[in-house]
Order: sequence, then C-alpha cells, then structure tokens
Amino acid sequence: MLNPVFLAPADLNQACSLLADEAIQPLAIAGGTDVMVRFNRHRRRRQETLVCLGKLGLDYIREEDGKVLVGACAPLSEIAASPLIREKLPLLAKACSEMASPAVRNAATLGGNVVNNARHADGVAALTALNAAVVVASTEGERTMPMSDFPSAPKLEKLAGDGIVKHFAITPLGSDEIWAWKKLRQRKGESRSVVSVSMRASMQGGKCTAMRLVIGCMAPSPFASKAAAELMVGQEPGPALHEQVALEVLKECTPASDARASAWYREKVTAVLIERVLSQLN
Amino acid sequence: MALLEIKVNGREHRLEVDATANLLTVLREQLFITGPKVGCETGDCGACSVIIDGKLRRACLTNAMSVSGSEITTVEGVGEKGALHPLQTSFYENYASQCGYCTPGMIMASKALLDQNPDPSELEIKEALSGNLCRCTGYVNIIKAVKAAAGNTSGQGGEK
Repeated sequence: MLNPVFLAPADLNQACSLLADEAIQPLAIAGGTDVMVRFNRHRRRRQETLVCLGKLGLDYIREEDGKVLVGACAPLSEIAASPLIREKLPLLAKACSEMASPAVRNAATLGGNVVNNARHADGVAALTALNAAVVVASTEGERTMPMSDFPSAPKLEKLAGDGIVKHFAITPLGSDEIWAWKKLRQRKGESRSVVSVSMRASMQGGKCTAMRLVIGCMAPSPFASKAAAELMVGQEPGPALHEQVALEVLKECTPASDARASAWYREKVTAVLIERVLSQLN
Repeated sequence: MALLEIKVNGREHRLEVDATANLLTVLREQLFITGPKVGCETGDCGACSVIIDGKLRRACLTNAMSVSGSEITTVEGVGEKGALHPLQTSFYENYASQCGYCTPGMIMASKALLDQNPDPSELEIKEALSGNLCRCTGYVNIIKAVKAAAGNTSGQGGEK
C-alpha cells in the first residue's frame, strides 16, 4: 500500500541527507504552490517522502559582507515588502510584487520559483538580471554558482539528491546603476508573464559600461542576452542602436505559443519592451 | 499517514492525514468545515482562501502537514455566533453575493486586507482581491462592500 511520509527536519545537514537518499524517493517541498498543484492534479497518493524545508530557517533576508542574502524559503510577499530589498534591490522587490496573487505570494518561495525554473519564472529572470549567486548546500558541503549556471531543466526534482538551494547572494544596486523590470501579462493581478524584460546596466560619460539584459518566457528558461551586452557596452544609447539590439536579441529567442500568447505576438512585444527598457539609459 | 495538530477557528484538532493531502481536503472532508470551497485547485480562483497565522493563503495549495501547529481561520471563524462580522454585513447590504460560491474566499481576502490596512484605497482593495475570481462578475459591489466595511471594523481586527 502506498504510504507517503512527511518529514520536516530542522537541521540543514539532515535535510540534505534525506534528499540524497534515493531509497526513500524524497521530494522537497517549501511553500507548496507548485508541488501541491501536481498532487491535486493527479489525485493519487505517491510513494514518496516529502521533505519539508519550512523548519530550516532559510527565510532570512539580510546584508552580509556587502551582499544581500535572500534565503531560499523567504516568501515572495516578504521579499517584496522588505525595506532592505526595496532599498538595495528594487528590481527584485518589483518582480516579486508582481508574481501570482497576494495569497500565493504569502506561501510561494523564491527558492521554489528558481528550482521549478519554468519559462515564465520571474524570480529566475530577476535574479539573472541582478547577476545573483546561488548558494547550494549538500551532503558534500556548500557550493556557489552564478544564476546563469544554475541547471535549467524545469520541474521540481532537479535538485533532489544534489542539495538544497540555501540562499541567493546579490550585490546591491549601486547609485550609478540603472535597472528595469517590465512584465507583460494578460491582466494586472494573478497572471503569469507573457514576456518579461529586465536590465541591470551602468553608464559613464554618456556611454554604456555594463549591460545585463534578461528576457523571460522567450526560451526554456529566462536568459541574459549576449547580443545586448556585446552591442551596448562602449556605445552611446540611442533609438537606432536600441532597435538593432532588439532585432539581435530576438535571434537568441525560441518563443513558444501557449494559452497566454502566440510565439508571433511574443516576438512583437519583446522587441517593444526591449526598446522601452533600453530607453531608460538616455 | 501523518499526525496533524492544528487550531481551526479557535478549536484544536489532532488527526491523522495523508502526508500529501492539501489543507482544503482536510478541512472539508475530515473536519467538515465546508466554508472554503473547492474551485480550481491550482491556486488561481481564490475560492478556498483561508487565513493561516495571520496571512491569507490558498488552502488547496497548502500541504496540510506543512502547517501543523498553525492557527487557521476559515469563513466560519469570522464574526461571532449570532453576530455577523461587519464585512459580512456589508456584503449583505451591498448585494456583493450572487451565486455565493466565491463569497467565503472574498470575505477572507477582504478580512486579511482590513486586518493589515484598515483604511485601504480602491486600488489596494482591487490588488488584495486580485487573486479571487467571481464568475458572476459582481466585482463592483464586492469592492463597494469592502470600502463600506473599512470604516466599520474597529474591534474586529486580528485573528479570530
């Protein structure tokens, strides 16, 4: 008889050991807003061990050694409302405040959004734009990787046996940096992204000195555009250049059609959003 | 099976639940608290909204065991026996219910808002209710009801 088990370890090492034990078929659960949809949909018990991450104390938001650390289990609503995040990483605060609905944001965690890593994962887009580092704890210790190296195969089980996302370490936005978060959605509340475009950039003497332009929903995972960085850095921003960047970025995209938008529509609006975001540099 | 201990509407419960069960199923099928409604079960409609430890949550997306030890308020715990909460009175007076299926969720989302922000703007009300769908499309009267209740909830705030 199937008899799923629920465990809520209070110790990170113990949680890592449980998730590494294939014999118990572990499945990590935090806010549950992705995992429970699957359980609800399939309407069946599963021979699994649910390893709840809620008692690990990974919901912190603090500053340490010049970085802002956002615990993987911090709920989106708390990140969006955090005075520290609003002051130092307003891009992340805005992205989190526009995800899902108030009730879902009270439960959903940033770590869950990243591990689920769907096409429309706004948390992944925002963290990639901010060039965040992901700190993963496992039975072999901690390792740090840039968001861009984080495994991009969507769907939940990916990190099972390979550790737990502990937190994200992010360099605060400097006063000379320019940021943008633009999300197109079907309506203002409770809607996934049709397309998102986010940016972290620097300007000096009228020229762009650094550019991270991240496109969401236009590839299997949100990605930082290489073309945008290559074309923008060292150049004076302007409408002609922005249009050229938008065309080149579209070549990097692999949009899909779904219930929210067609691939054709996504291409059209991505170009518009890119030009709008880049116009903030002028 | 797993042992769940929760307080619902002020009453403590200790019961065995499926480790993968959502809170909505436990409330409705094991505790017979049927105010929270079954809607989409994907977190989109808000019919199952409850307040868990002071925060608005989706019962359908909440693993029951993950909230063991928590205090849960459903629409049955809003107001007192024989006396409606001002929000409930306001929904009644402003014709904010049509078929009524979304109403428990609307009341819980509105209560969570007024507990945090007793004098919300219309925009704040719309934002707070953005995750609650009414397929009779009675939003105008719902927003009107929350506005009317906002000035009339003193002494009723906080968890019940």
